[in-house]
Amino acid sequence: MLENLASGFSIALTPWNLAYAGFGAVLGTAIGVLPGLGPPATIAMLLPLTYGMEPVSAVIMLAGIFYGAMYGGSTTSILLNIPGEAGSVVTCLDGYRLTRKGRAGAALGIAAIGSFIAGTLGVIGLSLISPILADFALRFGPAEYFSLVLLGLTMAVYLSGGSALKGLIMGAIGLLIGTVGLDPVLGAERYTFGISNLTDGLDFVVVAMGLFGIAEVLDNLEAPEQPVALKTGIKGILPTLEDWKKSWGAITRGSLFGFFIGILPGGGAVISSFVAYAVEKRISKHPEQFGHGAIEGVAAPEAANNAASVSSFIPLLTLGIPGNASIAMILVALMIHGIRPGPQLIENHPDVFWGAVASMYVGNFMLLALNLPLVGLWVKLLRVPYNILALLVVVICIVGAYSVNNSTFDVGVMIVFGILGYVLRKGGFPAAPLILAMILGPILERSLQQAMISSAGDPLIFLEKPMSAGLLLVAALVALTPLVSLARSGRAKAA
Amino acid sequence: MRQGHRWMLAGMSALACMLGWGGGQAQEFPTKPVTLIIPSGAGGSHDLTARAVTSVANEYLGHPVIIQLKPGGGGAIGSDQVAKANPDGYTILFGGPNWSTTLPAVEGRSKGPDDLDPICRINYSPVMVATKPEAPYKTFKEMIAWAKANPGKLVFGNAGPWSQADLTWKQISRITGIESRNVPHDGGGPSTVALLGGHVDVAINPTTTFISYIQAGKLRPLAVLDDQRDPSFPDVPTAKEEGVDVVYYLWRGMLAPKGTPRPFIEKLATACKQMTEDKTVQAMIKSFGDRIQYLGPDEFGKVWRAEFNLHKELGASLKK
Repeated sequence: MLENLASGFSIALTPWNLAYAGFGAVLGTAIGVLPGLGPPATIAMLLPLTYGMEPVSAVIMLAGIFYGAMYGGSTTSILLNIPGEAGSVVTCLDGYRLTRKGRAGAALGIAAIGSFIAGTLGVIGLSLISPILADFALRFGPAEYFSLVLLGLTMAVYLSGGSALKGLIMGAIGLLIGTVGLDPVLGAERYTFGISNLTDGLDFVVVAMGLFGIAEVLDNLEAPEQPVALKTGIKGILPTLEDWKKSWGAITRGSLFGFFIGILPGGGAVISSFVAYAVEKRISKHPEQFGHGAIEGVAAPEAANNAASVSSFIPLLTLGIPGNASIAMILVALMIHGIRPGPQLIENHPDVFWGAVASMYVGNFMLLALNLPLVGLWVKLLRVPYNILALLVVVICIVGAYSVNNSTFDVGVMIVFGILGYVLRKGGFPAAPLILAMILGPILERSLQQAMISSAGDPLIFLEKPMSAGLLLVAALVALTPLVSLARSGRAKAA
Repeated sequence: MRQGHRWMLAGMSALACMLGWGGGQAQEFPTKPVTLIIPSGAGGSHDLTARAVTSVANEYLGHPVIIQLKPGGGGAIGSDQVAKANPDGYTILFGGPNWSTTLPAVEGRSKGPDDLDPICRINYSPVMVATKPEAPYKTFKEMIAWAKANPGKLVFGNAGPWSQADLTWKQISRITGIESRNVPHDGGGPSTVALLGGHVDVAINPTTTFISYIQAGKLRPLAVLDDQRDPSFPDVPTAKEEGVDVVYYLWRGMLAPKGTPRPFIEKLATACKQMTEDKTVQAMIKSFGDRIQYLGPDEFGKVWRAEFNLHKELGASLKK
């Protein structure tokens, strides 16, 4: 193992490969900061560049873009309340509140360092136990997915700042929005009103940009004075010792959730960021601070999405299964070089496997070195007067929404959700549970249908599979504990 | 040598242009780059093939081909856009059986041979029926016999409603009379994962999707749904040989708006044929695990129309 890793480093540390890793990381950070044009599209555009490269160099560069984007994705979430990538939607919740309190530097710093720690832990996990984990990912069938997603949904209530009831209402609306498009079994159209743009459903990045970014601008326009935070200067640029004390546990737990949930193909990174946040809020001694600028609320999801971006390589490198669109593009790059990742990759092309793993260690250092100095620069951006900054937010959102599918329809969708988000804010309805339910709803429905069809309609399948039964038990506990504590506090009051 | 040949061609065509040679429309077309709309996402097999083939367009067409991705609606958005475009040969569609045949034939969405004209077929990927090596059946015939002996027990993993897998499995079921549980998946990747993980018993996907798992001994091929055996799997029979006549081409080809002048179609078809004969293009296609199976406008039009009629009939009879 160590010899293999050493030979991997000897490949990753050649000047050319270092340069490719650096280029990928810088480009990834840039596209992560700019929402819309995501890593898959960027990798697709750069694919022709890799025709003339060594296969391992191609993987090093493209992987750099992918995890660089995960690092950069938090920046606009924290500074402007625009989630640039799917994995950083949750980061908006507390990251942007910290910015409003004048602590943007601390939030960005924790995000960068938390990402580094999580990324490194992820790579260590990847190099030690990937074959075992790949097998675990394969065992995860429709029943297990259903139970996991149900568990994720019970956590939606923890994403709402105030009233749990309002959180549940928003979750229900999110589930309904998730049903727009083709039904997974028959391919019948639902709520599409004959508009072909709706047959693939609504893109949740577009919806999130409206609900968070545009709604925030509308809200701020009401206040005649500038938002306090945006006037404060550089002070408090880096996380304090107090921040560290609060965050190290969140980073560790976030890394674990990200690593294990991120292995699952299809939305692992996003789900893990929500789960990590909800768990921190659940176990925190000060849950009321979440949603109002808790540093742990940034540390946990950022750690999770970076650990997940590393572990999502495991199914690709050990089984040839691409877990998401970015990884699928990297698979394509390898295939162009005649390498077909699969069960035999480690045996047949150890240089590619270990070179790629070693480059991830190197890439994580590069990203930290790149991002920490940038924190000061980003914070300075906030000194731009708000009337100009607001315009910038709107432009970024419009360009971002357009570039997701090259579609002006999406720009319209984003604007509609921006206005809706503004109205919902006025009523104190939180947006995050809606987004979570919108992402999870289609996975929930598909896995329910798959499990029920394969069991010929027998619902016991969810209890017969041990992993599924375990997840359901946890979901039941999560759903019931607030009731128990409510009953207890009621009794205490009565006595 | 080849390089010199190219320069000579370029020089001659430049000369021809200057002298206003030919004079007919076909000789003048194209005078600017041609836009090829791909109605599916980045990195799919259609995207890759189109990029590989058109990478040498400038040499054979005299102008580059610009690729524009218009994903959405299962291919309907890009197809509708091309069907509505000016039939001047400058906007064409990269077609495939899902959005150019099945969707219009079965669901009445997207655009088929009634609204678009064929230019050429570039190639197709054969699809294959596969199972786990430990399955109780070792051949396609045995699988059918097992399914008949255990009605409603076999779990099949399709790649989405009306996908190649869903359509062909329904055809196989109709011909043989077997009953099974047809579980939907969000594409061929997820259905392959489900097969590897033992969550489904049988799946149908392009041979290119299955090949590495078959080589690693993790999957067993049962039959190819093609007219002839796949050269990569000379021992695997076609379904036809096993007594079930089901064939499916996962094709990729160029389509033009209805009413595009015939000389333009021919010009584009000839250029495409030359591109597919280019050595660098052939090497790239080979690396995807595919081959070139070029068909000109007339032959391809016939195959496409026959496929459309078949899917229409299947859709009407299976939808109940």
